[in-house]
Amino acid sequence: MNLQYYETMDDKSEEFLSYLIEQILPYFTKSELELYLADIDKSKPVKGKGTKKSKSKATSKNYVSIGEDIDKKADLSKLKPDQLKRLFQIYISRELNDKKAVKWRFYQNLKYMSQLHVESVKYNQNPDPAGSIDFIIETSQSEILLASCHDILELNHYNKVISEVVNYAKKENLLPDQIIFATNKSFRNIPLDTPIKIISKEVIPTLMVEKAGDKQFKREDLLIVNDSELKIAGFNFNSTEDLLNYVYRHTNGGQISIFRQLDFFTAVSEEDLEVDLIWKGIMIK
Amino acid sequence: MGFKKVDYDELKTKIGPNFLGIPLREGGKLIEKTYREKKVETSYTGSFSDVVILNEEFLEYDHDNLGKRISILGNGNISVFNNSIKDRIWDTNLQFTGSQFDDQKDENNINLGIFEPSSNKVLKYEIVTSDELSELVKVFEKIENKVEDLESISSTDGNSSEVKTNNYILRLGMENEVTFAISIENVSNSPLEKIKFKKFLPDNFYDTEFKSNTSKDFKITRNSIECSLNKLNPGEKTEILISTKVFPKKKENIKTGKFEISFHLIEKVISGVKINHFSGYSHAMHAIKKSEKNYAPNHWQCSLIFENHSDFKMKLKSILIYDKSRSKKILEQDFSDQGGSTVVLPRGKFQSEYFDYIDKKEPTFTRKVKYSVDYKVESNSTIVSKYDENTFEVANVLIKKKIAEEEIKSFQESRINSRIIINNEGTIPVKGLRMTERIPEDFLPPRDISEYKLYRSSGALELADLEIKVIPDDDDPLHEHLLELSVNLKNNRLDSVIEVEDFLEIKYPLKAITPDYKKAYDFPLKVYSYYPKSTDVDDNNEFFTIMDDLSKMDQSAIKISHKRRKVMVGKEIFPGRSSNEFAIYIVARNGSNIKLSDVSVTDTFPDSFELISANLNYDVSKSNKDGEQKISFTIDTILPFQEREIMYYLKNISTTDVNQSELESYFVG
Repeated sequence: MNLQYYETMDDKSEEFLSYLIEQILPYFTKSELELYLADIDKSKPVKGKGTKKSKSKATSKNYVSIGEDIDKKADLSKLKPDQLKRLFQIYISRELNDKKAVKWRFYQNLKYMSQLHVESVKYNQNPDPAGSIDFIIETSQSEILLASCHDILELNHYNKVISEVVNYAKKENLLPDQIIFATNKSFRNIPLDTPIKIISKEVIPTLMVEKAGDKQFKREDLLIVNDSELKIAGFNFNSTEDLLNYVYRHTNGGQISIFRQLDFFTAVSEEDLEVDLIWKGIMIK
Repeated sequence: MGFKKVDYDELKTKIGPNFLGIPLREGGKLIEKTYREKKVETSYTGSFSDVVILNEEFLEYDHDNLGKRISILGNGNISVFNNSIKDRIWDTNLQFTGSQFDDQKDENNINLGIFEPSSNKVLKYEIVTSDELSELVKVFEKIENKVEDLESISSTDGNSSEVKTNNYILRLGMENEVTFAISIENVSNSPLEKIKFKKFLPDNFYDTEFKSNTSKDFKITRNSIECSLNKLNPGEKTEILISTKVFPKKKENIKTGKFEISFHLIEKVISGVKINHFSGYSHAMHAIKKSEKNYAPNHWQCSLIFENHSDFKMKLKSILIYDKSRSKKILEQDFSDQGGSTVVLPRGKFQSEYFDYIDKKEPTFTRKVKYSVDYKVESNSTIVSKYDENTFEVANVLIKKKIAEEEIKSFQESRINSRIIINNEGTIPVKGLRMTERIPEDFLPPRDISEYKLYRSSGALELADLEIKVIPDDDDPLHEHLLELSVNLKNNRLDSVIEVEDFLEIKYPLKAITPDYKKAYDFPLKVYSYYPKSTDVDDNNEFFTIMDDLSKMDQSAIKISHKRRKVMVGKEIFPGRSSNEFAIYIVARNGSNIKLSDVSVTDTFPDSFELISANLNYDVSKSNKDGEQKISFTIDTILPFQEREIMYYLKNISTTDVNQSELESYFVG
């Protein structure tokens, strides 16, 4: 058995799914899970004090802070079977690549991305499916980044987002430092070399695509950092680079060895599981 | 999870599942992390791994149809592979040189950062000063038409014109067997491997056959022939022979077909890019072992140990040990004398020579150890050499001969006006012309050049462009003569004698001296059309010639008539009902095979008679002799062996009797 598709799983029991969902890293906070479920279940905004149906007009009222309750780990025990299945398909098998799936995976990635030091994130509760600003990110250097997530980035979606960014910037008197387009797939005709003019400022767009493949472990493996300092399910990361970014943030640094226990999450017996060294090096903090 | 930033170049050029649409051709300088490709064989055996630097270049040489180089496009990759499945390499540094790194002259020392296990990075470059690159192969395509009446002649020493643009001639309306002989010579100083040859042939060709002394493995498809050739060492040459057939049914442009040769150069890059140095660190440990001597307290025997903890071979370059304050150099080992370094095998250990040190406490030292992972460099080049095609010319002339006189009389001297018309129905002008006509006995060609007239649509040709030769050069009609007429061959003043779709008309008189109607005279005519081998108008040393003869069907035969006249005119007098009436009956009989025209018959009768009537128009006039009248008739035509009758009636008007004797007058007819 492997964790590639929900439908091909031998064991779809709530217990097993819950067990796997518990392994998703970084952990969901309480507010994150609420917003996630509200978005996925298409329910009304949880903390929505803004307009309910203002899809096409982005206003600051649509945006709510997310992930600030960093100490409040979400309670995953009360999730319904449908919700478990959806979580599995988005975060574990990653077989879902629609806009919502890409958006929530991108949010998870924001938490350990090495090139960004995120200070706070605001989340758009009323996104437009054709293209909207999904996250407003503030970095530790007080830079403002606007992120828009897509399953497939087409030129007209790109242009729509640009126009929304310009409108939003004028309305809120905000000059973003960076505009990020996060997508699973992109057409090649996106004019990444053309700066976007926002009021008086020119910003070069940033395209981020979901990585596939480049790693030394499988999603079914258990990754053990040093002497069990961290235990990480392989399905959380689809590149060694992401794994190292996460390990960097969640260890004290120094000499790091990462081992993998092959097929830990799908093995029938726990005996004689092979353990390999996959990375050895130093992380200076 | 995991998102990766993609820049503009990657979006346009990178191939991957994240990108929709056709990628652009890669170019410029890009450093990217890629997956390991199978083409580099890993030497990982469980305990040994290596770092491979693969420098590959891809060049495309384009040549025109003369074999002259038009352009070279090329790019190269320097790929660094970490073949270990567990060990990382870090702080990697690549130094290279090469005149082709136009925009990287200042950056030929590149820090490539960290290599994860089983990963690689690629540095791409374009070869920008490609004009300076020399040719690696010398290729010559010789195209020959084996059709029988196409000859090749040369007025020089017969050197083949390898650098000229040749005309390739096909005959219209017949099967042409064409051979393409392509010779390939390795003019580089490296062996050429994995040579592939491909020739494209247009649809017009059929029955294609292939021969090569170095390859029997070939594939013929509808439009191409391709084969693999054996390795060619420097200076070696191989030849490919393709024979095929073509039947031009109309005036059309048939191409000779492009061809291309691809090959590999092993262990060599064309551009001159050179990997000078690569260094990187992997897992290793070094320490100084200090042991206090048993027999001498405070005397320490020390040595440096270096342990390789990685799967790579390590090159230990130098060891430098000072005392703690770095004021005194204790040990210096530079391995540059040993080929630049000493190699420590995976999990191996190196121990330096011992050195003694006196200290009351455990001594401490300052040390610097220089080392790097070992690497190997592989290089190869893939070259495609392309050659453009020519166009076949179609050659064809149509000859007609006309004689103004339909017939001549036997055994009589007469003049025949001969007219020969040559139409150019091909796609290439006729540069020169030679015409031979065999003049049989009893006939003589003119020996005076001024009697020959040549015309084209643009007007008459000057006699300076004409040369005639009569063999033997005499006026004896007892033997045959050969008339040879050359146009624009001696002085070669004209660009062409007959342009495409134009004609040349040659007029000259022949003398028939004593034509015998019993003999069958034949005037065999051959026309040799000269087409220059080279398209260069100044180069007229070599020609293709095509001979056409006038078929007997098209010959305008001379009819020699043998005609002799034979005529008889008779007169008979018949008495009338009364004694003074007479009827005169005249008969003209043509006993020959010649038509007689305007036969004049004149009779006389006395004045005492009156003309009553006649069956033909007549003319009566006073005779010169007194007492007589003259009557004249003209018979317009008497066909061969035909009789024509004239009857006229007379009546005596005098009082005296007349007798018949008076009517038996002087008769002219």
